[in-house]
Amino acid sequence: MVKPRSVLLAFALSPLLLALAAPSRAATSEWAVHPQVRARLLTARTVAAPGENLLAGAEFVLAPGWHAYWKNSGDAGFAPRVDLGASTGLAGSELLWPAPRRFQVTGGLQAFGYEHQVIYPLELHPAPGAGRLTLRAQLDYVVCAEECVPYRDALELEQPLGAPPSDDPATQPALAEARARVPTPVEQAHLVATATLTRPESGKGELELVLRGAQPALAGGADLFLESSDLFDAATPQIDALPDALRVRVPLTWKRADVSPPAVFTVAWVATGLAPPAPAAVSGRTRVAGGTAGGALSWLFVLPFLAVALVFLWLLRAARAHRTARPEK
Amino acid sequence: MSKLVRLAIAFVLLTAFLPSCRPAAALAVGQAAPEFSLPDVDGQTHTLAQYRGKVVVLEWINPGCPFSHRTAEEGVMTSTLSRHPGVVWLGINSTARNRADYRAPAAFKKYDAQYGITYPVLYDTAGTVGRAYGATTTPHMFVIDEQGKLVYEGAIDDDPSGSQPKAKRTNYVDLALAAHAAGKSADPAVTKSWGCSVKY
Repeated sequence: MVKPRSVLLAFALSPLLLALAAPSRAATSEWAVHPQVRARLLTARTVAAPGENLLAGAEFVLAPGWHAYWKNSGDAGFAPRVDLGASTGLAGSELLWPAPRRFQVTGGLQAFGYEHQVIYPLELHPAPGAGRLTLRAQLDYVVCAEECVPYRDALELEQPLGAPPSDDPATQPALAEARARVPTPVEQAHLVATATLTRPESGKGELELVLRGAQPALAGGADLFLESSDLFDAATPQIDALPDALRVRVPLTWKRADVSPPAVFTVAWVATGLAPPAPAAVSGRTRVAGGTAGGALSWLFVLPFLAVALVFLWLLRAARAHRTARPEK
Repeated sequence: MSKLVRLAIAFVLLTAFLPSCRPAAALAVGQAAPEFSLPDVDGQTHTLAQYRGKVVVLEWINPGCPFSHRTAEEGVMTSTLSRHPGVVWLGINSTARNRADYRAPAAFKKYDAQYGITYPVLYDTAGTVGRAYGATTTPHMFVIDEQGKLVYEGAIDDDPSGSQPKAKRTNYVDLALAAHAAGKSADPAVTKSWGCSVKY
């Protein structure tokens, strides 16, 4: 068996070997190299037109078994922060979040994020009339396997400006792919999302989100992620494919017993693993209007279990009848 | 077919239809904080009930976690406690005995001495207290009022990576304790905790 330390060492050395193999003039920063992760900045253009919006990204390559995090990191870690405040010639920027995956953490906990490699796309808005664009980023992030290691990297990238603009073949395809992994807003995906809430007295509720027009790409392959909320804690969703919709039921626990939950609130969500023609991942902010007084409705949750029990009893009776007809020897 | 086999099949059938859920957090602000009785590093037992009448801060702690360790190195917890002298501060170590981060009480005492941790650290190796509170990260903070009611749950502050100077961070436990002392509700009363997962 290969020792974990030698895997990490090989992982840490690999960018050096890559650099020797293919010295690039690409629109990238140097790699910040750590034993479990390496990080860099990249842009899609070798030459960008002055003043045009520019697709860029923060790329993380992770050693086997290590994770980076989504905007809701789940039960561990924290969402990475990319501070571009020290840049020159930059008027604004927007960090985008690729669709995450769900990871089980030992101890019955869950985290949401990425493994192997992830590029968080950055939409850059250069300052009008700026003659140069120097990106200076401070990345604050954590990677976790069983244990977690936080890092802070300062990265710099000098973006050539001029005419004509040209894509960088070494970075543009990867950035375009990363951009495509960012969930499509539900309205643009031509799907309709509705959310209802049952609110039993016990402090627990259930959010039901119906995504009309959506189907899972693979049976059991769809998932739903909620952005973190001060109102509730969300458990693992149960997802069912209805004939014309995806139905997601998320058990919620209210985090406040001292104040009533608001009559109307908004849930921000990402659904992943959807079948074409819908995009693979869709995002939405959906209004959840006043809960039904859960008492009556919560009885409905018992129905599936009742059905299973009835089927079982029926099978048992059938088996007994069969035995009576043909007694065992 | 024996009755036992039939029961076993029934059990498998029924559990197959139960969603494999991570239980949602068990505790909400305003609710009574679960009672506990746990030994500290010297084997002395502490209960929540014995501190009724005082404000209690619980800090889930694991020196093997870089987030817990940084707050210890920086004295974030001890300095917060020093600003609220009447408060009882208890560290809770829910690391299971079989996890790599487990530290025996003697080793923990050395750690306490090294980083000036003077408040008791309680051992919850079975993780029952951690789960009852819904503690997910180290650190994860809970502030409990004089009547044993939860008034704040979440992160110690707004700077998970410790990249900001201490004066620029918003210390939520500081805010909650100050608000409570002034007879007000904590605002925020809930934040998202950050850190390593609790090593249950």
